[in-house]
Formats: sequence, structure tokens, C-alpha cells
Amino acid sequence: MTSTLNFTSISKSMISIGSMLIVFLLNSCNSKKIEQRIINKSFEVVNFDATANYQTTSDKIKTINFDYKNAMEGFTIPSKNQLSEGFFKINFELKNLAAQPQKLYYKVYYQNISYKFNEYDSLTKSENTLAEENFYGSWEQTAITFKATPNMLKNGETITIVDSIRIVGNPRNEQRFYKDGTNQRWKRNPRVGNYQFKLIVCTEQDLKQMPEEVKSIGLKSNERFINPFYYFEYGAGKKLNETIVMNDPVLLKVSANPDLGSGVFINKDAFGKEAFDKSNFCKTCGDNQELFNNAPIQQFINYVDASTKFNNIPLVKDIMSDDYTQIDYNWDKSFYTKEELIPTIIKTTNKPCQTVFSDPTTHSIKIKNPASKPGEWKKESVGIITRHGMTYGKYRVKVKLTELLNKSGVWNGLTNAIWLITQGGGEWNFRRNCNSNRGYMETYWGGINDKRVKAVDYSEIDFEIIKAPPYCPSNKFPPVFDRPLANNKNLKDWHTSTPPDLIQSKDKITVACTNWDMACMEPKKFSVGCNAIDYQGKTYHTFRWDSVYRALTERQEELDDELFAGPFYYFEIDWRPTEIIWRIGATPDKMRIVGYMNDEVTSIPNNQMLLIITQEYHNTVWWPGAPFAQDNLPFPLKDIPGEILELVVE
Amino acid sequence: MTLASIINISKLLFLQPKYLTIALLLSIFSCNGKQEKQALPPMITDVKKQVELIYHEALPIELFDDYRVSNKKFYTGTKSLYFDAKMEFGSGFKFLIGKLNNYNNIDSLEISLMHLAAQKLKGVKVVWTIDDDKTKNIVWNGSLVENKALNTWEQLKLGFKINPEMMKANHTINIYVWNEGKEELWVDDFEINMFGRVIPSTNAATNSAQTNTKTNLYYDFEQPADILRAEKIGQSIARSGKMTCNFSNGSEYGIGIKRTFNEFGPQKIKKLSASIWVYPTEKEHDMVLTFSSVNKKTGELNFWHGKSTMDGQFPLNQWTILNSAIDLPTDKFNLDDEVEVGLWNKGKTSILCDDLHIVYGAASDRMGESNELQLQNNGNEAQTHLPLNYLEYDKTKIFGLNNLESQITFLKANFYQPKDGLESILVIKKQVANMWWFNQKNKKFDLIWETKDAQHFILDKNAYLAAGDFDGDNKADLLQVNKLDFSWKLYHFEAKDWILTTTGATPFPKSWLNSFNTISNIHLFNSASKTSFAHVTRQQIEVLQLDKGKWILSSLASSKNVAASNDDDILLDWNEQSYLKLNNHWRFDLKQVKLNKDGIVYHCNYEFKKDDKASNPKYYEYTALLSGNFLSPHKKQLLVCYFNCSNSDFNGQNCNGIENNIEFPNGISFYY
Repeated sequence: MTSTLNFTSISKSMISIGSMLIVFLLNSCNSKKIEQRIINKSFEVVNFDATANYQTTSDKIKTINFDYKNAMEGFTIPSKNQLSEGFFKINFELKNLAAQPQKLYYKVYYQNISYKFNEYDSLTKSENTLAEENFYGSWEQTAITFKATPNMLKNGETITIVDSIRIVGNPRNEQRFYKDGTNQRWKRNPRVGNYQFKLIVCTEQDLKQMPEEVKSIGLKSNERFINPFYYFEYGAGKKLNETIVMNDPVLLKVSANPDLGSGVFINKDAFGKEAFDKSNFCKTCGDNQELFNNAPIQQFINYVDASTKFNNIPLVKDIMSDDYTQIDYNWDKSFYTKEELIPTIIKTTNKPCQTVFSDPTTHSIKIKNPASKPGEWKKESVGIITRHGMTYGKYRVKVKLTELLNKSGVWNGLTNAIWLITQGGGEWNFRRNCNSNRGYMETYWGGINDKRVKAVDYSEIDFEIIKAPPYCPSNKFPPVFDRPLANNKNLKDWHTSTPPDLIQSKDKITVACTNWDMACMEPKKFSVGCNAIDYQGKTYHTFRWDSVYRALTERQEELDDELFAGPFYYFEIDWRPTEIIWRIGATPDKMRIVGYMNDEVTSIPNNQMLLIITQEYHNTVWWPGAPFAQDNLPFPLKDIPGEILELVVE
Repeated sequence: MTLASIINISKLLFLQPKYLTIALLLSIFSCNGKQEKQALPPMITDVKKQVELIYHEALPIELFDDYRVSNKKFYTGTKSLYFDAKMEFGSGFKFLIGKLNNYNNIDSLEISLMHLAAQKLKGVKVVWTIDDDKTKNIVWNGSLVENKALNTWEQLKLGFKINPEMMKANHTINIYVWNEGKEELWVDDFEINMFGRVIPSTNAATNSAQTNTKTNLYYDFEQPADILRAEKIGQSIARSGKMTCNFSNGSEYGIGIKRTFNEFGPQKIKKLSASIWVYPTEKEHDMVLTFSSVNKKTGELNFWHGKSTMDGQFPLNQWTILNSAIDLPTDKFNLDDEVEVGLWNKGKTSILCDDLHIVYGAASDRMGESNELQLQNNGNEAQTHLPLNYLEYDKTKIFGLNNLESQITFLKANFYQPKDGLESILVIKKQVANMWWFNQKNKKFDLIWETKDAQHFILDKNAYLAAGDFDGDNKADLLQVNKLDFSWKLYHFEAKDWILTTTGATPFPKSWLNSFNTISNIHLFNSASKTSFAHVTRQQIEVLQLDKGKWILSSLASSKNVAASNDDDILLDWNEQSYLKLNNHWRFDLKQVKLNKDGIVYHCNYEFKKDDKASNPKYYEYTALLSGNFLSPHKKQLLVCYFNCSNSDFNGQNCNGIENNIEFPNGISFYY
């Protein structure tokens, strides 16, 4: 995947378009503007600038953030808040070199080049079938193909073309993303990353040779879109003699950096009924129109499966105050009776805005798992979710989430999770078909007998940070724990020792990096059990329970203090078309990889997803080998705070 | 050492509401009672200690509203069962045995009732029967009801052994009064109790014996005991010790551990886990940790499971653990089949193995049942856990407890300076006894008295000692009972020494002295401005009180409120109108209870507040409490003694020595 395009490569690509072309690339030391000139026997094109009205500097990359104001219908780049016109101004010059007057035709395409499949498949020596998934576009009205110069250009006549363009969702105007006749562009939002603008200028003769599916990106050929970047760089378009292809040498870098202080929206659907408690609503948290239009974040309500029901010890303690030791845990584990236990499930709030705060001063979001008290027993998860779906991107969060272990190494029962989840929606958000014989498991919650289907909309990519052992290497899993016995006349019966292979992990938590591939067996190295995968000189171990298990995971132990005791820490999910990289670090420039997967071992999702950050309680039944069982950990005596300080997707 | 007996002596008793004028006078407390010192016979591990109440039912006479009852005479409430010439059979109990929990553990029946008649009873019997599923009578037992006095309510309490084989689910038990003589009488408080020797869920020790005979096994191979093919063990590079299971010659079959499933209880275990440390010295090793079971009768394989070093990461010449676990196919083996955990050097490479760890069974279900009887719950407040705060004092110096002895006794009473309201602590060790009193001026405990004279009556091995105002003279007495001849004396502490004030003219009741050792629930309590001994059961309270130089036995007829306490609870006076109730039967459970017209009301739980200077006493194998006004006349403190016993089979009663454990330092602390 290409993430940058340097000057040299641009010049090479220009030269390769046709032997008749002469390319001038002038980089004036005195001028900030790069000057381009491409000539063929019929005309010349000079100085293509697709963003002439934006950031008029000499930088090779212009940057722009998603504008979250009134963006629920989808992002537009630029927005009217960013450029009053709401469009980038296109600027280039044409000069007719032909003896005869002629009209020239032009079209501007753009494509996200950070998160794309290569257009050319070197094996088949044809277009990469996945290249149609790339995010490319042109004029919003796809029916408008190439635009003609206003007049016939006489020989030697030069004209400056001024046009406009913007990047919008669903640029091919695919019916898949329509509902009731409305193009719901938010269903295929623009991707973050670098965009390249490509100008095509041609004569009428060449125009006639171009397929309609290239001229109009909304059309399909044999049920497939043709990526114009393939067509003009590798395909038949490359051989057109009276066509000039000129890339804007300046890339546009699009990022998402939502203002976390601009409010938290409450989706009443998450609370089941209209008459829910609104007593905690405030200016920055609620369900008013202002927040609906502009808040980038919504309070997240975990899905609580009935199977998470468990019987908890009837204790309320502040585990994190560090006076709750392994001894306390062991005693509490052994010396409560069945009758005393509190049957409960993981709770979610029924008082929106009570445990989530958007702070406009610090531009952060504070969350808290609320305290419990006797008689009002609860282990309540808390979290936030973004509201604008995206596909791919490097999601980096700066967070101060709760420590998970106290100084005695006892877990507080929480899982800190930073995860991407499908935006849902059904067919419009289906993942790419799973082309193995069996397809995807139909649901993420179903059992082993779940039906296999070609396509699903479920996807999930996780950081889950929990007190649980790694599954790999397999010789260490599962740890062998002594069986405690509730005999208070023999200390060793109930105060069992920690397995020696776990002692060194006392102050560590496990960072679990997981991709829910829904058990699609198409990847050629699809496997179960522990399997090594190398990346950048380091070996990671993927794990899958069995061939119907829907997720592939990698687990790595890290120091709890390092990740959560400091003022903040960074977590990054780098979701790319063919790989996923999980990184953590104290600063953005010191991130280290803790998980790596690629499309050889797992099906990488390509649908639109949302980001969730949670401090959530899990039933440890689903975390085999966990040294602390959720039901044997006390309810929290105090609020357990967390803070999301920054979210950047780029 | 006879810990349990001493603990029980320290209990305080609370009587039913109408007797609630009692207050704590003095209690005797032993952190670690000693047989030699007090010459108490060894604790009898008697049947009673193991027996638990399995079923209780009281006839709901108050709910009857017909010819069966009379409201003219009653013992409690407003009604009683009435019998006359026309009433030959009265109401009783009849139920299918199968409805009882743990019915197959039941081995005894207790029938209790109050009866009253104006004439000498001759033809009235209490009958209990068992009929089989075809209503055929297989057990019949009738006991005559006799009255000693006329027109007086008298209690009849009968106890019977039941053949457990009779206790089948489809059998019916029937208990009733048979007025065979057709006499007039009244019967009240008709109750039955059924006891069993074992209630696994309430007795951890029993649990251990029944279901968890060593489920966690470690083999460091230093000793060959219990190991099959022990000849494979030899001295080599070892992870621990010197011995390893040595496959350096490439041999194929190594050691094995064989057990029978029924060793782990009557229920089939569902999981088997094991780990072994492996030290490969050659590549391409294939050491397999195997689990297997063969049908004892057919010889066929029930299951086999192996986990190999071929998977995972085993660097050469390093010790690396191989963990393995399986969910056992419980439908494929029988309880009398054997299960073997073994080592199979399938790869026949040179490899060493050490430190085998086997765990039979999954994490146990919660085993205990609260042996609290139903206490009334004071709402949410009852859920709270109030802290007992650690009080910093140099206890070590005070009590000379640098090395806590396994034999030490504490007594407390207002021996010294009675007017200051502070109770002194008499500490009796094997070779020294001393008494401490808190000096409020310098905020230190002062040594008031001490002896190392082995002939001193306090150090007399044949003496039983108790502290309290037994003679009601408003002065604290030290009671000494000679365990050989049952003579007794009372001492006061005056000035600097003990003064003999009373010499008993009649012996101390022999049975009561024995009771201290064989009956768990002996308390000291205050009644009528003097200290008495009380023997508490769930049905009655017997009181032994000194009256005009004689020990007089009396019975308090009803003990409904006492019944809200378990037999082996320890009750300590605490703040005004409230008491601490410790149940340490299967766990440390300290509650504050209050008394009101409804009886004992559970108020809150108490927790020891964590302090860096002291461990939490509740975690110790032995914990004993003594409450008293040691530091302040206005607020009580709790003196807590806690230690672990060196006996591996410690059952809470007999301890031969104290275990020194760095993680759990033994100690004595004050809390408030």
C-alpha cells in the first residue's frame, strides 16, 4: 500500500503514460508552487491544482480534518465551515497545440491512496478485483462524465480551467447506500488518509474510446466497477495517445480528530423506552438537536447477554485502594455460601449522562463505573462510541483508563477495551463476501452450529485489556490452579498458591488483540490453535479455539502500571485493507506493536465501523484460565474513573 | 491443647427477652487454653460435635382453631393441644422422608414437648413410626409420658437413634401423642429435630474428608512414595531438590500417579489438570503428559488424553512448564475406576522432568452453608460491614508475647482498682502468670502482679480457673476448681496478691466440669448481679450458680432467642445493648447483634480494618476474642488472638504447636 507519493514517482508515472508525452516538472526555488507541464502532440496541460483555494503553501501534503458539525449525513471534504464555498477549487491550464480548433475534455478523479488495494494484480496482469473497493470519486453527479472546455480552442490558445470538487461519501452513488430514494452518503463515508487528485484531459477522439464505466464511475461492467486509477495507470487508458493524465503533486491528508468536548449524544433507542431518566442531561450530554447534529460521541450501552449472569460474592470493596490482597480474594472465594451470593448480570446504566461527561474545557470525555453499595449491587460497564462510521484508518486514542490491578496484583474485574465494531445496518454494510466453501458464521453470538453465509455485516477489531493468561505458547495454557477447599482450620486449603508459571505475571495484564473474522476460512493460512506470524522481525502468535470460532486473537502481557498508572497512554488500531496492526505506547512517536494479523490468516473487515472505548465487566467464564473470577471479586465501593483525552484517526 | 473447650467457655450467653436484664459480668478467655494448665481432659471428639441439625419442625398449635386445641392452658403463646377421653390421637407430624434435605444423613431424632396434667399420667405415649412405601409399618416406638408434678408444665425431651437404612425417600415418618389411657392433658411446644452426623456443606473439615481428599498433589520426586515406576527417578539436574524423572537414556515410559476416582468424593470429578516441568536436552522431543483411565471390570480404556512438548515452546536445556487439562468424560468412567497421570517419552529423546502437579476436579462449588440460624435482618444495615479499627499498643512487651506460645490463657475481670472501671487481663502461660492493668495516666499497661512459682495455685496444672463475681459481693473473684477432687476456692486480688476468700464446702458439680470439655456451649453470664455458668442448647438453658456456698443447678425453661445462636457461637458483650457474635465454625463470621422484643436482631457485620501492623485475624486457623474495658471504662475493646497451628490435620480443637508463617505472622491485637 502506498502511503506517500513523492516527486520522483510522480514524474515517472507521468512519463510512462505515453511516449509522445513530454513532461516538465519544475520546482522553482523562488516559487512556492510546483509547476507541471505535460505536452502531447495535441495539447498541453499546466499546473493542475485540485485544492487551489486551500492551504496555499508549498507543502507536499495539505491536511484537513473531518468537520463533525452537522456531519450525520456524512462527511464532506471540505465542509462549508472549512471553505466557505464548500468545495475545493480546481485550477489548471490547457493549451491547444493542434492545428485545428478543438474542444478538450477533462475530468478530475480522486482516490484515497493510504487505504487501498493495489490497482494492478501482477499475477493476473489485470485489474486487482479488490481495487473496486478503493475509495475513489469524482464529480458528485456521476452522470456528468468528462467536461468539455467552454469553447473550441484555437491553435495556441490557452485557457485556464477553474472548476470545483469535494470529497463525499458514496462517491459512486451506489444504490446499496440509498434508502427511500435518498443517497445516504454516511453509509460509505470518506476514508481518512491521503488523497490523490488525478486530472484526465483528452480529445474527443480518445473520449470516445473510453468505457462508459470509466467516464461515469457509478456504472458497472460485468457487475464490477472499474477503478479509473487502474484504467489510466495500468489499463487501456494508459495507451490513449491524446489523453494526458496529471496528478496533483500535492496530496490531501484527511484526518479525524473529533472534539471530545463538544458533547455526548444520547440515543434513546439504547435505553429502550422514551421515559428513561433524563435527570443527568446537561448542555454537553443529552438528546437535543444540537447534540444530535454535532456531537461526535454517543454514550455506549454494552449488549448484555443473559449468559453473563453470575452469582457474585456479597461484598463491596475498593479493590484499587490496594488493601485487597490475594489473601482477601482467596478467603472471599471460599467462604461465602451459595445462598449468600448475589445473582446478577453485568449492568448498564439506565441514567444516561450520569457516568459519561464531555468536558469542553479539557476537550476530553470522562467516564466512570459507578460505585455499588449493599442492596444496590451492581457491576456497571461504561463507555462511549463514535457516531460516524468509517472504513480503515489508524485509530489512535490517548486515554487514561483505570488501572486494572492493585498493588497486590488483584484484578478489579474490569476490562479496558478500545475496539471497533460494525456500524451494523445489514446489507448495505456487509463485509466482502467470504469466498471459502463455507462462508462466515452467520451471527457473532451463535454457537458452533450456526449457519454459514456468504456475507455478514458483523465485524469487530479489539483491544481488550484484561487479567487473563495468554493462550500461547500452548504449553503454558491452561494454567493449573489448585482446587481450594473451604476449610478455615487449614490455611493452605483455602489460601492456595499461585501457579509458578503465573507468578512472574503478577503485575501484568494481558493485551488481547482480536479480529472477529467470523470464522471465514478463505485466508490461505486460516488455522486453529497457536500459530506464528512474523512481522517486522518479530513473531506474534495467533490463536483460534477451533474452526468455527469467530475470532482470531493474539495476547501479550504488559505491565499494568505502564499502561494505566501514568497520566495517559496511547492505543492504536491500524486497520488497513490487508492487515491490522495493534500498537501501544507512551507517546505517538514511541508506539510499539503488540499485535499483527494480515489477510493471509484472517478475513480483514472492509465494512464501516465505529470506535468504542469502554471500561467493562466481563464474565470470566469466557476468559478461561483467568486467575480471578468475576463472581469472586467484590462490587466496587467507589466510582472507577477513566478519561478519553484524544481520538485521532488518520 | 483444647482450644475449642476454652473458646466455648469464653462465650457469653444471652437469654430470651424477659431475661434480658443480664449483662456481661466477667468472662474467661483463653487464647490458647492448655490441657496441662487447667487440667481439662482432652477434648472428646464426640458425636455431638459432628452432629448437625438437619430438620426442625414445630407444630403450629397457634394456628389451630378447632377441637384439638385449648386456650385455657398453654405454656407459650395462647393455645395448647388438648386431650381428653375422647381424644386418643392428637395432632402430630407426618411427612415423606424424601422431602428432607440430606435425609440419608439423618441418624437421630429428638422429640420435645411440654405437658401438663392434673393427674398422674399413666397411659400417654409419644409415638414415632416409619412406614414403607406400601404403608407397611417398619418402625414403631412409643415412649411413656410421665409427669413428676401435677398441674405443672414439664418438659419431655426424647432422643432416638434411627437406622439410616430406614430413611428412604418413599418412607413416611409419623410422630404423634397417643393418649392410650384417654386421660386429660395439655401439650404445648411440640417440636421435633432430626440430626445427622455429617453435613458436608456446613463442615469444611468434613468436606475435606468426604469430597476432597488431597485433590491438589505435588510430586517433587524426592520421595518415591505413591509413584508408579519410581525407578525412573534418579539424581540429575533438578528443578527442585535433587531428583528428577530421568529420560536421559531415551527411555520411553516414565513415572505415573494412579488414583481411584472415588477418592475424591461420591460425585465424579469433572476435570483433571496437571503440569510438569520439562528440561529437553535434544531437539525433536516429544514428551507427553498423559491422562488415562481404564475400566476396572472390563479393562477397556475409558479415556486417554495426552499433551506433547511438540506443541508450544521448549527451549533446550531450560526448565519449561507443560500444562494440561481436560474436562473428564463422566459418562465413560465409574467411580471405582482408576485414573492415571503419567509421562510418556514418545520421542525417545533425552529429556528430564520434575515437579509434577496434579489437581483432581474443577474449582469446587461453594461448599459452605451459613450455619447461622435464621437471624432477623435489620434491613440494609445488616449488609454493612463496619470496621474494627486496629489499636496500636506495644502488645509484645505488655504480654511478653515475643514468641506466642501455643498454651496461653487469658482471664479478665475488674480485679485491680475496681472503681476505675477497667478490667485487668490475667495472662497465664506455661511457666509464668501475670496480670496487666492499663494505667490511664501514662497510657501504658502496668504489670500488676506476676508469678513464676510453679506451686502457685494459678499455675497449678490441676486447676480449672474462671473469673467473675460468682458470689455476688460486687468484687471480682478468681474461681479455682481442682479437677481431681472438685474442691473449689474463690480468690480476690487485693493490694498486690491473691487472697483466698471462700473455700467451697461442697464440691463443684463434677458433670459440669466435664461439660467444659465435652459440651461446646458453656458460657459465663451475669444474672442477678452475679456470674453464673450456663449450658446452652437450642432447646434449653441450664444454669449453674453459686448460692450460699453451694452450686445450684436450675433450668431456664425456654430459650427461643438463644436458639438464634448456633451451639458453637461465641457471644461477647460489646456496646450498649449490642453484642458481638462470632461464628467460627467454618469461617470467621463476626456480627453485631442487638436484642429487642423480637429476640436477637442481626445488626451488621464486623470486619477487621486492614492495618499494616497487623494481619487480619479472620484468616487464621485459630482466632479467639475477648471483649472488655481494658483501655477505657466507657468503650470496649476487643483483644484478638490469632495464630496458625502446626498440625496439618488441625480441626480447630487440638493443636500441638504454633506454626510460624511469614505471610501470616501470629499475633495478638487490640481492636475497637
